[in-house]
Amino acid sequence: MSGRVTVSRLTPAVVVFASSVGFLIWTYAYTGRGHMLPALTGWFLVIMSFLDIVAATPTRIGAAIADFFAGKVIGEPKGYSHGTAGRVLMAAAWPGLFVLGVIFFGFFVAIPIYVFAFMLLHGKKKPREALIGAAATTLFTLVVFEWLLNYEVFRGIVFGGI
Amino acid sequence: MVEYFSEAIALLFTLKGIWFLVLGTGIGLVFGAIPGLGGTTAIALIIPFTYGMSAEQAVILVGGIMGSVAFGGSISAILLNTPGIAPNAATCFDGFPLAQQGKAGMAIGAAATSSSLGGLIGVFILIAVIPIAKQIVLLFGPPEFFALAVMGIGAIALSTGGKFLRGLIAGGVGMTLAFIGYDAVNGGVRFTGGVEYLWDGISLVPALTGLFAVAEMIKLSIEGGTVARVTGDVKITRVSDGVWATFKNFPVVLRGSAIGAFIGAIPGVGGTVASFLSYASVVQTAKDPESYGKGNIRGVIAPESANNAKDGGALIPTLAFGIPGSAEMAIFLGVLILHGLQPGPLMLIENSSVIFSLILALAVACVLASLVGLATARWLSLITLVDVHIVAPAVVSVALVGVYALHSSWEDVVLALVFGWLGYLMIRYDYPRITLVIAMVLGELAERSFHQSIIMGDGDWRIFFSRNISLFLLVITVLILIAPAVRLLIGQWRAQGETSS
Amino acid sequence: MIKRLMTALAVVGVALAGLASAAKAEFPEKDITFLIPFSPGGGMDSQSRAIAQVLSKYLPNNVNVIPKNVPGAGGKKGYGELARSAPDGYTICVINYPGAALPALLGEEASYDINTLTWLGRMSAEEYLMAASPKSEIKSLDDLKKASKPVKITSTGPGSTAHVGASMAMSVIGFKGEFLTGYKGSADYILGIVRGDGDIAVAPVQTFQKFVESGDVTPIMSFEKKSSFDGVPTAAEAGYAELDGMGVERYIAGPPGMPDEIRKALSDAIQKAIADPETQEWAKQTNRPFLGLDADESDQAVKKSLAVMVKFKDALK
Repeated sequence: MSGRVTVSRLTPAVVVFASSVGFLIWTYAYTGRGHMLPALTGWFLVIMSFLDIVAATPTRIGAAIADFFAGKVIGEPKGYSHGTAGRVLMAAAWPGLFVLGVIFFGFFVAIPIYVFAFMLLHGKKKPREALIGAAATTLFTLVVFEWLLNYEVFRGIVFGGI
Repeated sequence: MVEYFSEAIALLFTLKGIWFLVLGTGIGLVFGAIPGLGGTTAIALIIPFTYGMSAEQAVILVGGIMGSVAFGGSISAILLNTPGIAPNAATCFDGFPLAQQGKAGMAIGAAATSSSLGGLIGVFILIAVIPIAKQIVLLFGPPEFFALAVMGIGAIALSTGGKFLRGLIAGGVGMTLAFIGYDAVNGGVRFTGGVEYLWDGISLVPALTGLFAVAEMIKLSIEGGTVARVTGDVKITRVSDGVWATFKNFPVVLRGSAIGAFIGAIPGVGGTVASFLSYASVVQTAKDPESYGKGNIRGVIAPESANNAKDGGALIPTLAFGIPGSAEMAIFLGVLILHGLQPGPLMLIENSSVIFSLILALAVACVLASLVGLATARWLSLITLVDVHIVAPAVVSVALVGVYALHSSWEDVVLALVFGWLGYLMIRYDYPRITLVIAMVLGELAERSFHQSIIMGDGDWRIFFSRNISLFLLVITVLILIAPAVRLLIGQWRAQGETSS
Repeated sequence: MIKRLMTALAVVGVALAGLASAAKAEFPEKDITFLIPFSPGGGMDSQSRAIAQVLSKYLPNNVNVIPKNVPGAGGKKGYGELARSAPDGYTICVINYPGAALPALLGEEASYDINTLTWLGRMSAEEYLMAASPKSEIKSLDDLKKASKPVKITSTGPGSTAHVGASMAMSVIGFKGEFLTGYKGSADYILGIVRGDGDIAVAPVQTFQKFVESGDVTPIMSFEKKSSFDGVPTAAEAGYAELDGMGVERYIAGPPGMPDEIRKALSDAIQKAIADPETQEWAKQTNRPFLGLDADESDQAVKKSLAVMVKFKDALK
């Protein structure tokens, strides 16, 4: 498959399998009718994710399963990068930090800081552009939610939101 | 019935009537487009403002909102892979790839046209069915709900384009998420780990917003560039292409609307299921199923017809019994009560002017909303050319404000974030999100109906097969599930026949 | 010297008294939040909003009463928020009774204590009706008592007030019943018996009214003091005094520990709002009568009811 970048299938399959086993065990904490369908789902997941692991291995039986119903491995066009682990973690961390900011300081503090910082640091934009972006987003939120909808946007724990 | 309609027309085409309709349409479009908000929130927020109005005027406003929300939501689904409301999630699958190919204008054009056509067909079906509405609603009980849920999950799993195994796994995960929370049938709370927030289970809108919007923004942050990623000259395609494509694919519109109206008529199932099933049906019956998920315009037409037709459908049980067919209908009934009316099985006769005002407003609003969409589509499409580094944080910010606004719950915001991470992982490692979502939506209905049916049948499993409709649905499910295997076998058999002769 | 001291004290005393009365007279000085622990739409929400609208008229300083929906956990989220709020009169909540009392009765943990809330008044009391499916063999109270196999009763779930009513009826009348739960609301489980999923259901008379009129359900027994339907006995007439008057009540309450003056001010305003001709007109049109009680009466009523319900704790589990 020249020119195609592929993704590891084994690791996620193992993770799903392990989680399924964990879930199945958890279903046994419940009894009677409340246990029935979750347990059924648990067993289903354990079996299916096991098959997925087999399908990901470079064995003959794995290839047969993959052919039958696991589908082809995704291939993106040449030059596409799924990103290094570091870049992925950074990209995932940004909204995470934003949410933390929202919880403590509310949207009207978190939004401008988030947009500004993201554009500046992650996007490598000029400070003026980042400022405009932050201001525009905050203004939009203000006008649409507080003004038009007469809705009080979350102020954050620090400012008495909870 | 004609006199009811002429009464309603007279009420609507007054200065105030038109003003409320336009206002409602505008509100619906905005609330629909902003993720996290939606029709229910919009109607709930305007309730206080309706105090001074007559019941008919309030209803025209509500009808305006209901008719335009679904199309509003399709705009963000197409441009930003963010479903504006839950039923728009299916529109993301082909709508967003189209935007990525620079065809956002076409996609919006198609969405607008199919939304208005779907809405009108839904209303038409409603009117045709009103005389026998009661009997139809009574035919569907827990065994039929269970069969429908199973059929839904099976059908969706098959439309994952060859990734059947992973589709099933994602579906299983969706089911486990559906089990979280209070179990009304069997009593007791499950899988919450003692967290009171999870008592009501995983909230759909924050989960969807995270799974689609936040996940996509994370992906974009890694990739950089713009949403539209056609190399070379990026031309925003003509909106009229989309309009034309919808008419060319009118059978898809018809089928989508029928599914939408039908599913919408079943109380408790909802618009999300309607649009997903419509999408699945068009994928499964296509000659080129692999083209879906990559920008097939029919993948936009089918769900958009369905999610507008569902409003007409949701009115069926609402009018037959005064039992809301959807969350918006529930609030609509609340508005009626507030204005001194009594919903109930005799509502159609006792409150005809109000009911027909709603139907009329609904029909006109979906056309009006589409016209607005068509007019502004070109400018809206320009968003896909904006650098992702402003789009990503802006979308995340506004989407999460919307999510918060839904229940004034910061926990919902955290939930959206977690689902965002999950969604990104699913994109990256190639697990279809569509089956997870449909299983999450249908899982609760499936389990609840299953246990209810067993009790109804006095512990006997055969109840699913002794009732005509549930038997029929289950047979269809089996047929749908074995169809691809059968097709495969026939293909191989034919190939062998050719080589040997 | 002493005269000066006395004057000073007098001045201080007058000033303090002035401040105190000014503080008292100033309630309410800002908008009051009226918590509704359920989703918008539906009878409880509409009734609460109707009252909230009129309540502003009867509160001094023209403040608004703003309804705020806090759905979740069957009402517990809203009640929890009420319990956490300051008892300064700016947060009040509609209480669905006896639903709100269930966690305490069943020995479950809850973020509020029903026994300590400040009762401000009652809005309504809707008594229950027991009705049967037209598809069921059960057509009357006698049929119910003679039923050979367990009767299927539809309801939303063990935490609901109607479910409580049905459980108690089962225990008092002595018939064998099996619950068919999981329906989303009263309209849904009534549809359940119209459709024939179950045999009987218990719900407020007002909710059943339209279905009885259209012939979709058959009323069997009323929990009312006086039966609204010809030929249908009341619980008392049938010999079940414990079930007499059973139903769902909607109170308005404030957080525990509210000062008396504020409690009284709110109580008076609520009673006046209920008596307002606009409210009465609405109640008549929608068939949701207001049966108001003031703060003290409500307090007594709740305490009395709780004492009775505790005796049936085991039947409820």
